[in-house]
This record gives sequence, C-alpha cells and structure tokens, in this order.
Amino acid sequence: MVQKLTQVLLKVFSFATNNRVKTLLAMFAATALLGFSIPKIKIDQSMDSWLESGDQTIQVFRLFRYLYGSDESLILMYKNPKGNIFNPDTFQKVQALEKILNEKRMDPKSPLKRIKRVRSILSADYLESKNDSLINRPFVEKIPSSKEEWKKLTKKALEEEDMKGTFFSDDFQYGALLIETDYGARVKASTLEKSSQSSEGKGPKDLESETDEDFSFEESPDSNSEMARGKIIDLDKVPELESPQMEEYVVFIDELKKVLEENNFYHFIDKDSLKEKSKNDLQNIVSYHMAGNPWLMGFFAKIILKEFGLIFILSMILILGSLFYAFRSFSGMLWPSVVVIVSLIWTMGFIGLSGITQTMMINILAFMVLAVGVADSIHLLSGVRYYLRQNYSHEEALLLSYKKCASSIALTTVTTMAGLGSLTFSPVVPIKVFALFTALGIFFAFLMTIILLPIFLTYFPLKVKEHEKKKSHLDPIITKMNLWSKTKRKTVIIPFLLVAVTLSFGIPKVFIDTNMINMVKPGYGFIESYKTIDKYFGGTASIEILLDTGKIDGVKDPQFLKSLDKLGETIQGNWPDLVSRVYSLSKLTKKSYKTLTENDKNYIIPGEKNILDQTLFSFETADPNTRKLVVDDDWQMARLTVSLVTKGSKEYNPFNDQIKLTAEKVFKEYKKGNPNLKVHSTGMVPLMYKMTENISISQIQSFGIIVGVISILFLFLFKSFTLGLLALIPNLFPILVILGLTGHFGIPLDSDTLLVVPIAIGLAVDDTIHFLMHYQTLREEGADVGTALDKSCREVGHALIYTSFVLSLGFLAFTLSASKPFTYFGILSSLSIFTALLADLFLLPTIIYWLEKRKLPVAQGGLS
Amino acid sequence: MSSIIHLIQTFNLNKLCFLSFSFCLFVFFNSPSLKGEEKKVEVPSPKEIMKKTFNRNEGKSSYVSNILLSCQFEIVKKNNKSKKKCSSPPRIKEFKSIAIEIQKDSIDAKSLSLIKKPASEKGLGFMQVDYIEEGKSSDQWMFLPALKKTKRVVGDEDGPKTGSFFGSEISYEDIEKHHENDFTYKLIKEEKIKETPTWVIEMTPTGKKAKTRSYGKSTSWISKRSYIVLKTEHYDKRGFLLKTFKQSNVEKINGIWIAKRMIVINHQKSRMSMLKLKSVLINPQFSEDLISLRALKDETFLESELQKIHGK
Repeated sequence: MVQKLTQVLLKVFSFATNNRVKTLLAMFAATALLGFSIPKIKIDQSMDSWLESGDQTIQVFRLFRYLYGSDESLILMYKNPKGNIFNPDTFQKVQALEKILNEKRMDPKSPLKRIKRVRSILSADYLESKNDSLINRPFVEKIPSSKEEWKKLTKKALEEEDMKGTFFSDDFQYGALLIETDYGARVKASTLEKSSQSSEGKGPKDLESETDEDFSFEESPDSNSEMARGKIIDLDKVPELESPQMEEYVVFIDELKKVLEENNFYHFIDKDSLKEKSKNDLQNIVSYHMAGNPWLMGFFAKIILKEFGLIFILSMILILGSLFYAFRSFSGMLWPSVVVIVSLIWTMGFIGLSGITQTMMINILAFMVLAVGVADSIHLLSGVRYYLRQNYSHEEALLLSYKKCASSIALTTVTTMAGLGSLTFSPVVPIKVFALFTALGIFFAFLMTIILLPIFLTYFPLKVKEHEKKKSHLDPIITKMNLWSKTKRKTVIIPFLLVAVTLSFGIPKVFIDTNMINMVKPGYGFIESYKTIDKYFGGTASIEILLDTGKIDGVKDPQFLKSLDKLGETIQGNWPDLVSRVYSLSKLTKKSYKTLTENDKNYIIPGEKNILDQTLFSFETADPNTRKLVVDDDWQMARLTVSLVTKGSKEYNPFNDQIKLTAEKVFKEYKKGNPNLKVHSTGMVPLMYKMTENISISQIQSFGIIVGVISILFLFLFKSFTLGLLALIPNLFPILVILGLTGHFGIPLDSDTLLVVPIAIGLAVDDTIHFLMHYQTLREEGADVGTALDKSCREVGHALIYTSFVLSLGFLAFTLSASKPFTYFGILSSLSIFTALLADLFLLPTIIYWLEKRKLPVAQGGLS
Repeated sequence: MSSIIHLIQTFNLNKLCFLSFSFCLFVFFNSPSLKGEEKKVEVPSPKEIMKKTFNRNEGKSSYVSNILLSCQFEIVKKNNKSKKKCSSPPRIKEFKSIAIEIQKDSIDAKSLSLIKKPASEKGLGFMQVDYIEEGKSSDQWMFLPALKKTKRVVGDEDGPKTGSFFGSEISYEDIEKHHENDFTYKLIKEEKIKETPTWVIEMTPTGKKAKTRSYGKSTSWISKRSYIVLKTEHYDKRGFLLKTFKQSNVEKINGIWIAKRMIVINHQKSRMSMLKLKSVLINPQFSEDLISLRALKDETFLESELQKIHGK
C-alpha cells in the first residue's frame, strides 16, 4: 500500500517539476482568488455560537432575555481618594457622569445608545410614602449641604435593604455605578421589518386586505373569569435575538472610557494618561475598576485577539530563526514559510467562502496549520539535506528524499486528519467547525509540501557547505542516542518509567475549571477588578431562576409570592459563601406593601388576594420599569436573580444543579394546586461555565476517540498488533506529561488549555510514523535491526529534532499572551512536543531493541 | 366648535391622557373635519397637515366606557391569509373615564377613571389634575379600595415614558402631546385606504424630542377628508418596525369623528392590544366637583354618578 502511495506521489512530483511554470501560475491564481475570500470570514464569540440552535439551554436563556431584557451589565466601582464617597464632591461627579451617560444613551449616533439604564446611589429607585403620597423618586433628590443632612442620608442608605453592597461598600470607600445594556436582547434584525421595505413596499393593498377580522382576541367566558389557561411558552417560538459582534463591544467600551475620562474618571491601571496631569488635576481624579460582560468582551477583543497577531508574527520569527539555524540556508528558511503562508491563505479563503461562522478557535487553527506545514516541509528538506551530505546531486537528493518522505507525510496527514475527524462528532459546534477546517488546512499544508516545495527547490536549491557534509552538529547526539538505546536500555527506560510513575500521581489531581479570575494574567487590571468588586460588591455574575406559573396573572397569588420569597431566603441561607444577594418581585412586593401602609411591620407579602393585587397595581403604576425586570407583561412568569461571587465552574456547576432542586422543594406545596408550574434556571456566566465544562468533557471524550482511531490506523498500517501498541507508547507519553504536570501544579484544564492535547497527539504521532516508516523501509531492504535503527535515527532523527525544536519555540510565543489559558497552552504544547521527541528518539528504539532480544516479530521485520 | 378647538389647543394632552386614556386616543386619531376639506385646494405642506392633525379638538367634557384587551399573539395561516390570534386568553381591563376642562385657579383640566374589571381591581380609581402653567407636572391620585388608601402617585419625571397603560401595548409616550416643531416631515406618497384618500407622512423627531422618544421614525396615513390618522407605524432607532396602530369603527358623535376601536401591534414583542370604546359621550353635563378625592374614595357614589351621566 505504501509503495503504491509512493508511486502516485512520485507521479505528482514529476508532473509538478516538469510543468513548473504552469503549476506555479495555477497555484498563484488559486491563492489569489482564495485570498479575496478571507475578508468574508465571520467571527462570533457569543454563547449562541457554542451550541446547536435547537439546544434547550440556549432557548431558555433566549426566552429570559426576550422577556426581561439583557443581563449584560457593567459595574463601575469608583473610589474617592479622600475617603468616604458620601461627600459633595464625589456625589457631584457621579451626578455629572450619570447625566452625560443618560444623554449619550438617548443619542442614536452614540455607541453608548446600547445603555438601557444607569443607576448609582443617587439615582437608585426609591419608593416612598410621604404625606399620603406614593413617590417613586431617585434616592438622592438633592445633594446634602449640611453635616446633619449627610448624617441623615447615610442612615437612610444603611436602612434601605440591598442599598449597601449594591451602590456603596460597607466602609463607604467605594461606590458603584451600574450600567445596564441591551446586548444580546434585541430581536434579530432579519426577523423584523426594515422601515424602507415597509413604508414604500407596503401599499394600500395591505391596508385594505388586513381587516379587523384578522385580529382575534378570543373572548370566551372562561377567559374572562378565572384566566385558567396561561400562555404556553413555546421555546421554539421565541424570536432569535441579535448576537453582538466583538467589535461592537470595543467601540462601546472605547467610547465609555472616553466619556469617563472627560469626566475625570480614570481606570485604576491607566497610569500613563495621568502622567500629563497637574497636581491640581490629579486631586480631581476618581479612579475606578470595571467588570461585566461588555467590558470582558471589549478586553478580549482588544487585548487578547489583537495579541494573536503579534504572537503569530513572533512565532514566525522564532520559527524562521530556528529554520535558518537548522538548515543554514536561505532556501531552508524561506520555502517552509511560503508553504505555510499559502496553506493558510487557502484555508482561510475556504473558511470565508463557506460562510460558516468561526470562533476565537480560528487562531488555534492557524497555529495548527503553521505547525503541520512547517513539520511537513522540514521532513522533506531534512531528507534533501541528508542526501546532499551523501554527495548526491540536488536533483537526486530531492527525488530520494521525496521518495522516502512523501508517503510518510501523506500518512501523517491522514492520521492527523482522522484524529481531527473524530472531533467532528463533538456536540459543540465551534469544535466541529474547528476540526473540519483544521483538517482541511492540514491537507492543504500537505498539498503545498508535495507540490510547491519541490518546485521551489528546483529554482532555489538547498545548499550544504562542504564542512557540513562531513559532520553535522546533530550527528554526535544521534550517535550517542543510538548507542544508549542499544547498550544502556535500563538507563533509558528507568528515567522514563520514573517520570511516568511520578506524573501519573498527578493525574487524579487534574481538574476541569473555567474561572473568570483565571482567564487573564495579573497586571492588566482584570483580576484586580474582579477581586475588588467581589470583595466590596459581591461579584458580577448571576443565576436567573424563571418560574412559569402556567397561567395569566399567576404571579399575583399570595402563596406563589410567599414561596418565591422563601426560595430566595433558602438559597441565600444555604450558600452564604457563593450567593451575595437575591432579588425578585417578592422583595419589591414587601417593600411596596410596607410603603403603602406606612407600617414597618408590614414588610410581608399580603395574604389577601385583592390587597396583594392592588399593592402590585400601585407598584406597577409607580415604577413600571422595575416591574418589567421582575415579571413579564402577563404576570405569568417571575424572575429570581441570584447574584454570585466570582468563582469557577467547579463551584458554580454543582450549585446550578442544586438550585433547581431547591426550587422544586420550596414550591412543592404550591405545585399541589398549580401543577403547571415550571422552573428554569439560566444566566450568562453559569451557562458559559456549564458549556465550557461540557466542551472540556467532550474534548476529553474526543481524545479517547482520537487515540482509538490512531491505534486502529497503526494496526492497519503496520499490520502488527505488537507494533501498533508499540507505536502508541511514545504518543501516550506526552499526554501523560501534560496531565501529570497540570495535576501536580494545579493548573485548571479548560476548553482552551485542552486544545493542547490534539496538537500533542497529532505531532507526536507524526514523529512516530516518520520514524517507523523509515525503519520499515530499511528492514524491507534487508538491513538488520541495528543498522535499520541507526540509519532511521540518522535520516529521520535530524528532521524530528528540527521540527520539535522549531515548533516548541514557536508555541512558546503563546506564553506572552495576557490570557492565562493560552499561556498554559503554549507551555504545555512546547513541553509535549519536546517530550514526544524524547520518547520517539529514546524510548522507541530502546523498545525495538528489547523486542529484538526477545525475538518478537516486530524486530524481525514484522512491519511489512 | 370654537370652544372645543380652544379646549384642545390649551390642553396638555399628555397629562390628561394618563386618566382619560381613550379620550386621548380618539383625540389623537380623530382630527376635526376642516372647512372646505372637500374642495380642491392646494396641497398643504406635510408640516401643515401634521399641525392640523396635532391640533385636534374635542368636547369640553367627555365620558367614555372602555374595554382594553392585551395578549401575546401568534400568526395563524388560514386560506393563504395570515391572522394574528391571541396565543392565550387576553388580559382584560374595563374602566370608565370622565374628563372636564376647568381653566381657572391654575387648573387646566381634571379627569377620573374607575376600574370595573378585573374583580380584584374593581373600584380602583385614578384622578388627575393638570395645570395651566407650562411645564408643571400634573398631579395623580390613586385609590386602592382593598387598602382603603388614597395615594398621590409621583413617578420619575425625567425618565422616558415607557410605562404601559394597564399592561397594554400602548405606552404613555404613544399618547404624548406633540408639537409640529418636534419633528421633520416628509410626504412619501398619496394613496387610498378603503376609498379614503390619504397622505402618507414620515415623521422624524428632532432636537430634544429625538432624545426622549424611543421611536426613530414614524409613518402616518392621514385621511385627506378628516385629518384622521388611519394608521401609524413606529420604527425603533435601528429602523425596524416596532409598533403599528390601526383604528376602525369610525362614527360621528356630536359632529366629531370617533374611532371606537383601535388595535396596537408590538411586532418585536409579538403582543397586541385592542381598545374598544363601548360608549362615548362628548360634552356630557356634570359638575366638576365629581372629579375630587372625596368622590374617588366612594366607589358606590361615583358609580351611581357615572351611571347618571351615561343615562342622560
């Protein structure tokens, strides 16, 4: 089979090299054409992109946002440098800032039009009953002017439930400005009618044809009395909501920062902007921390995504440098780069043409194509260099190397593609898309290596200097390695075993966790902000519990609201370390009833239905905007918001699972008379965590499949069970290294870090295949085990060392990323590539020798 | 008629509308017939058309008995025709309203509404007093019979008026009094709706209005005969259709055209509301003392008085 493959590839080779100009022109035209499709690539990092559109989790989340609006808020935590924020100067600044933000949000041309509401201690809703008046007013109507007034205001603020910890900290050092946005909650534009179509396209025909009879307000007798039947909330019918693009967040955050700076609010990390300020100006500055999804997205788009470009360039420089070091030739440096760039253009062009939306994983895809492209080229170039050193001519060296390597490259391409192919079974859409296009990219890298690289080498051949022909700088190392595997097997195997045993103890300690705080390295103001906001304001995340009573006005029931109140208390009582606050209609009802009756003892849910109804009526009349946030327009579905301290998925996920059970328990009595009650839990951060955990688990499962697929491929390829198993050992070693180290060092595995595994497996497998294919060919040619191993080490060893060296360095560039998971990804990738090399060069030959000693078939040429 | 015109010109409709909601709606949608409207005259400018539409007039006093239905709708296709149908029983509110022009002691007008249905809200009443002084907020009182409390309601003055009336799809913003200088106008086309010739005018808010209005643009179909707004489409700031107002069952009462049925469709929330004016009286006779806190607290008395007005 391998021979047939080699023959086919040789035909490709002779066609390409005999029609150099034509082939190059055709490739150039195709590359140019595909290049034009690159700008069509769409990137979406929203949660919707991670799941199939019919997924119920996302449907509930969409329903939640459709009913109550977006939960993407920003919390701006400001600090008064002089101490207490309850002072005229700070209040005036906050007031001025709020005023301008409110103006901007109403300005259709401003990016800040995405703001729905701004609240602070000054503007917080305050329902008051005074002289027979029910007043819904801002908490601070007038900034106090005397000490007495300040004292009174402070006392009132402390008395008001949830004011402390929401708008100011316990010690009055920090204040919070809450900025609510409409991100992710606007109905998707495509489902709506655009103005131009309507006013001009729609004519009188429509007006005439649509009569009153086209609107049916069923007025059956039963509907008038008890409202027995509620609206059926059909998750499939919830309109699609817009998913904001990363770039929108950047524009929004930039504008917000600009407005803040104009009002003397500076991010605490933004020391550069303050350098130019005079002493007087500095006294006027209010420093702030910021958190919340729009900030997070803006940060990722601006810092992390842009960083990828730099990391890629740095990686390329490192790779080019190491290529030059390896081949000491300009051609050796240039051609692999061209192969990689053309492969990338083709891959990206196809992505653009396909119209399939990508996620941030497209960056990893680019690196995979880069790694494989470089590795393929190195193998061919290294072979050419080997034969040039044997004094073959350029043409002969190229042909011989092609003969030996091309089939190995084809096989490694097939195995890597097969490995990635197994990822396409993942339920996670971006992983599927990633696997599909990475497989395509790897195929293109192979294509460029077998077509373009030989043509390039005929124009600008690889050069080997005379003194290098005699001795290569790697020769002594390879000789030693070979000697060790032959004579000092124990010296080789024992350290590997020791390392393996030590690392295996780390495996049970491996844990999967996605945590906002662990996403970014310190120094970017990110962790610092989350930690400070957690400390003073109880976090930024929330779980939303939706309780569908199944009937219109079902929420207006004393028993329901009492249960809702109890649920809030139970949740807060059971998880005090995690839950910072609960907020629902029950609290607002109690507050309204107390205010209406002007009796502090009446901070309760009224037991009589008509009293409750009228309390709720007055609440809705006084504060319709807050009503919309806690119950839907039909009073059928109530919302309970559970605010959470920032923790990882390890803590959130079990909590999320428990919360529904708690709700079922609390509402058990109510459910007896209202069997249609349905409980849903949703919320952005917990959902994101749940999804990333699912992604991680599915990744791990997929890796199991990859190992299985590769084992089968090995068995098929080498037609030997022993060799198939044998080939697996050096490939499993890097995985053991990754898992052992992450376990020992407490590095959390998340979906980003776990991407290292397919890369590690892919590259390790490639090395093994190259080595064993050479060994197999040599054995078939009649060489004994010793000679075959020695020659394989010499012929392939160089290529293996070069690729590992080049790629390890290339991946190390990731350590410069602000993202912690990507840093771990860089370190672990480098380490796994390096350990795969050690295993292939030391462990594999040692095992083959050991098998030969025991006269096992593999050592006697069982490879054929 | 002059008194009616005078009334309308001095009324702050926004304030009055809070109480006498239906009154407002027909004021907004039913402008008076103008002298010489049938004659072929020079086409007025879109601004002039809208000025005439805004400066509508109604009686010196009014009595309206209303039913307001709201629901989530679904589109059902039948015989190649789509029909909007409530996907659940509609929420129903029935209420009666009276309004009267005062024009003395700084008081502009007073109005009162009394809820009849649903049962749990029966007897719940609203009273509103509007003042002559420009910019002065109206006072609103609410009587909660179950709690036996009268409360003056003071809302957020600066906030956008997005609160909905009785949970319907009509927001206070929809019934706000407009001034012709609040918008720029464009006559898009002229077309007939059921034999009635209309001007189709696009209105874009300007200046302060552009900031406080949640609609980016509105298109209205104005009857050339009566200056009645037959239909309005409101678009959000992104340019997508948000709400459509349609009205029908037009009748002439005391010489004034009244639409007794109005449908509001919120396209983005898939909700619709229908307001039916069960009975309308223009210029009924009643004492202004009827609109008082004392009367508000006495449902039985108020009900019998309203009955009397209706019976007259």
